[in-house]
Amino acid sequence: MSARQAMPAIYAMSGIAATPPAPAVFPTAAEPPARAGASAPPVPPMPTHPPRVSHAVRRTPWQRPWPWTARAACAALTCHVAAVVVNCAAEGVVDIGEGGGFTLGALLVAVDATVLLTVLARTHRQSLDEGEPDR
Amino acid sequence: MSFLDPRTLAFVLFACFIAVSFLLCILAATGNDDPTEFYLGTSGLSPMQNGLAIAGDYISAATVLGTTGTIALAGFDGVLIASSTVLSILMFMLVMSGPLCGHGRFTLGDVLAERLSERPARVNTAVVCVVVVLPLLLVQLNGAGSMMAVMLGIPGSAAVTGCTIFIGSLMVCYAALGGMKGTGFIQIVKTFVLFAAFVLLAVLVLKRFSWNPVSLFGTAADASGFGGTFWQSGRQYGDSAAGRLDVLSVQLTIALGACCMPHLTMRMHPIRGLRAARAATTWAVGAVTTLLVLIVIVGAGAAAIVGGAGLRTADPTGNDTLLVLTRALDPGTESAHRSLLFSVVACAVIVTTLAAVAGLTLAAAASLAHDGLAKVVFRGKLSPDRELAAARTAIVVVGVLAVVLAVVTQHWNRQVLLSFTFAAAASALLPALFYGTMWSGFTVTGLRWSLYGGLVLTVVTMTFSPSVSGAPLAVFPDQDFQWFPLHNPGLVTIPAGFALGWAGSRFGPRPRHVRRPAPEPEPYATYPG
Repeated sequence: MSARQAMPAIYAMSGIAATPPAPAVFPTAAEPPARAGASAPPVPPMPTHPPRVSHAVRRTPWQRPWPWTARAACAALTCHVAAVVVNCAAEGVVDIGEGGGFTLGALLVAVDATVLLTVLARTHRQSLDEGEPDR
Repeated sequence: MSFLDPRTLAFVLFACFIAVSFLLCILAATGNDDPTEFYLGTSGLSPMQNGLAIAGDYISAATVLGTTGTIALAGFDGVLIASSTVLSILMFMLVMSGPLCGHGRFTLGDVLAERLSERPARVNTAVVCVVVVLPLLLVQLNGAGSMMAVMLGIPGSAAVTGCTIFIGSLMVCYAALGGMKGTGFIQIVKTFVLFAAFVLLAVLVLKRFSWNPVSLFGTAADASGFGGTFWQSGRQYGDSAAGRLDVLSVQLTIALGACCMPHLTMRMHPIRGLRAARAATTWAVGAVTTLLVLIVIVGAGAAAIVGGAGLRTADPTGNDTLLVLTRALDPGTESAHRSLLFSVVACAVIVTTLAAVAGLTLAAAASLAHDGLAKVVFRGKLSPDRELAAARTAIVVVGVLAVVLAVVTQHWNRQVLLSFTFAAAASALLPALFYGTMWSGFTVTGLRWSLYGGLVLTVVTMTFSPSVSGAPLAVFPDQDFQWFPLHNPGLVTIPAGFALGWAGSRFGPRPRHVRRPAPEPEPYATYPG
């Protein structure tokens, strides 16, 4: 082995053209180290730099998909306001039951209650579900 | 037998509750040796217990007395108010529980100071929190004082004043001794007591109508004086355009205002993790919904049994409807304090009020002591012992102020103070909280504009509304300086509060970049080797 091959850094600093050393090889998930047993889980590759956030994919809150809680809250509020507006504006007498007393206002109040119960049931189910992350 | 005297029994029941609640507070106080335990003491409770405590905070005397009265006097409009209360706690569960739970925060100031400049966020939020909470505190104290005076059978304003001072003293003791944990235990007890009282009333009402709700609601419509239109909208504020807008305004105000009240948001801080928060709030929604169904039955029963004319004669604002109904259900007694049923129900209402005022006082005092004093005046350098002492002093200050103001406003229409509280919360606190937790572009200028803009707009519109002057049930019925047509200004002030918050952040001065320490080390590994 020549001196140039043995001390590449010194030669590099001195500006003398040298043969570049072979790049270091670090273990990856595809190539587990030899001492790892066959039963050991594969080790994920260690990140070497922070992930780059592309400005092209950053979106405002209005463009992002809303979580189901926000959608449920909006649906419940919309149903309730619709029920109130219809009942206030027409006293709920947009009769869709041919005089049987079944009005649009009553229908919207029923929808309002249904949305509420659905959301409540889903929340209860999700709160019991182990799959939901804690934050 | 003297023990079976209803008045004595009511007194014994009330004394038992006070003894039990003091015991709970003293037990809770044993661990309250640092501010974290004082403000977040309920972190060890199960989701069901936390949910019942949240439900207890949600159901105040205003809900119990006011909603029952509105259903009895205005029919469908009262039912809409009950449903908007349920919607409100649903919004609380869906929107607020996520951003507010965990992280060791004590107050709304803590929440907003995480993303905004600390001092202005804390000072402005603390001021608005106290202004929003105080009127609700006055309503509860006045309600409890007058109820206790009637229960004990002592007539006159002086008796109401004395009872208000007594209730105020109890409230201060509960909050100062027990902190968050003590008030949480009291809220749980209160929820059970209130459930028992309303189940009893609903059973008695339904029994009168052969367990037939259709017959109950039909008789209520006939006896109300409105006939078939009783179960249609427009009975509360009239059939005019302003009246119809008022109904919509009340709905928005209750649905959006109640879900951001400081004493409720404070209950979410000790809960660790989103899953536990959802489970707790699901319990709370279930409890509140069940109780409101019972309230609808009792309100309809009041209209059916007593009749609209009798209820209006007793109290045109509807706050005494529950008491009038209990006397009607127990007709063998010659006066209110001789009725066993009345004594039991009055006791439950006083218990409700006591628990509610303790929670409200704690929330207001936390804003003053933690945000104002510990974090702004002393810049976080206060020792735990001194911060705890400051919290207890603030509770006494808030309690004394509330009792004095409650005595002054004893004869005011309580609905006015309630409308103001919820409208101010929805117009000022909600935009700040919503933007502060969900919009990264929100600035301190936007915070100031939304908090003070929403609050000032609410004060101005309420002052010149028919709630304050120019109407028989107004605060000043003999004067007329009203020009704003709505009793509840939420329809105007809530969108204005959101618009001001957005405009302040968008067009106001941008904050200088403040370098903050990273909350925790970055998870990225360094270069190998």
